[in-house]
Amino acid sequence: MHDALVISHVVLWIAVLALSAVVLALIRQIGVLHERIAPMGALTMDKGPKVGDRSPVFELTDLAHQPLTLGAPRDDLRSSLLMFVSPTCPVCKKLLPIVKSVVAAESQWLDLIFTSDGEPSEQEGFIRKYQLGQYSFVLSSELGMTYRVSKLPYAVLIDHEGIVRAKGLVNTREHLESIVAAKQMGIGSIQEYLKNLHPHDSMEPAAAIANGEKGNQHHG
Amino acid sequence: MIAIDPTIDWTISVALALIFVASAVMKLIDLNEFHGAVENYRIVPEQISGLVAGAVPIAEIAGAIGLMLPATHRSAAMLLSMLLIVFTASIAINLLRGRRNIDCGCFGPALRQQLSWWLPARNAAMIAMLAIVMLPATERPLAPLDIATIAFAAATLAVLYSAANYLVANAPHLRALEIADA
Repeated sequence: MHDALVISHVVLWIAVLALSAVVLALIRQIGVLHERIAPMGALTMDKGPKVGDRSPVFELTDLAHQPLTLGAPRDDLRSSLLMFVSPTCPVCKKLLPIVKSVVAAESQWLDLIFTSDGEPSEQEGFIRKYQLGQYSFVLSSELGMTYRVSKLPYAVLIDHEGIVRAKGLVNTREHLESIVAAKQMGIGSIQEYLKNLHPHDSMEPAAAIANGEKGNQHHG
Repeated sequence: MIAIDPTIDWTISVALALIFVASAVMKLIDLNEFHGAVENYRIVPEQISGLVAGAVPIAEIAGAIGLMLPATHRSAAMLLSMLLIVFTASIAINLLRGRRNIDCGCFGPALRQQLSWWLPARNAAMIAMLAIVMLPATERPLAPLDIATIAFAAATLAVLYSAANYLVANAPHLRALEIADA
């Protein structure tokens, strides 16, 4: 009898542990599903400018009080890379040196514009700390709303004709290069770029986050 | 004075040690990002935020190891409680400041948890468990079945804790979906 109770006890604990592990796995999968369906993607993208669309034109003033026109055709044939960042986003801080180096390599045709919203004093500290003084920095919640930016850091490439060439969440150098390469290569999304790099890989988790972009391509 | 059974004492200690080691390892894997999370709390001056970001995982590991050694059992529980009180205060201050959108940093970048009142509640439960560990234990010798119970129950607690954290991390996603649907 005693042995039977001991065995029963141990078996029950194993079952409890196994069930807990199953619950954990299920909850993690729910998280992955949310990542795939939640971003601005299918739900709101009809309102945001699509890749290939003409960008809305913005008349803005940057933090240095210089006027800045964004989205209009440019006579100097230069494109604009709009980087949505925030002082409270750790990934942005890690990405800033990468953004600067990628843009420096493409400086003959590309301008870099940082954008954020919130308190100007906070942003000025951010600009000083990460030495962003040489770039335009605009505070505009309108920009973020127009482009439906829900996760940072987010990049939008607008070419010299005012056409949106690429956009998406950028977490790594690879993501950012896919955006910058979009103009020369005619690729509009991270998924397409990654698919060309590793044709046999399944979708990477980081790319899955920006999954809305893929739908965007097909609809746009 | 209430005394607790050693099986309960060890079950809680092993579970909390697992949780703190996991939390410290995730922070050490991407210390840069955890540094960013510490800065976002805006509690310590920027000059020493790097130092704090390095010290937190070290203290967590030291507490976890101390909890496993009979000689340092109670002082480690004390150290971990202090740590949790500091974390809870930092989270509460930022919630009261209305800064919900920052990352908790609790498990490094592996688990993006936004600040919410669930986190102080979770920490309060852990502090209560540490308070139990600080009580004296009865002298009952542990039988082999006790060892099995400790191992299974501690593993179950740690897994359920992790599951609860994922649920909380998912909550803002779910809210975003509900808002988009409305």
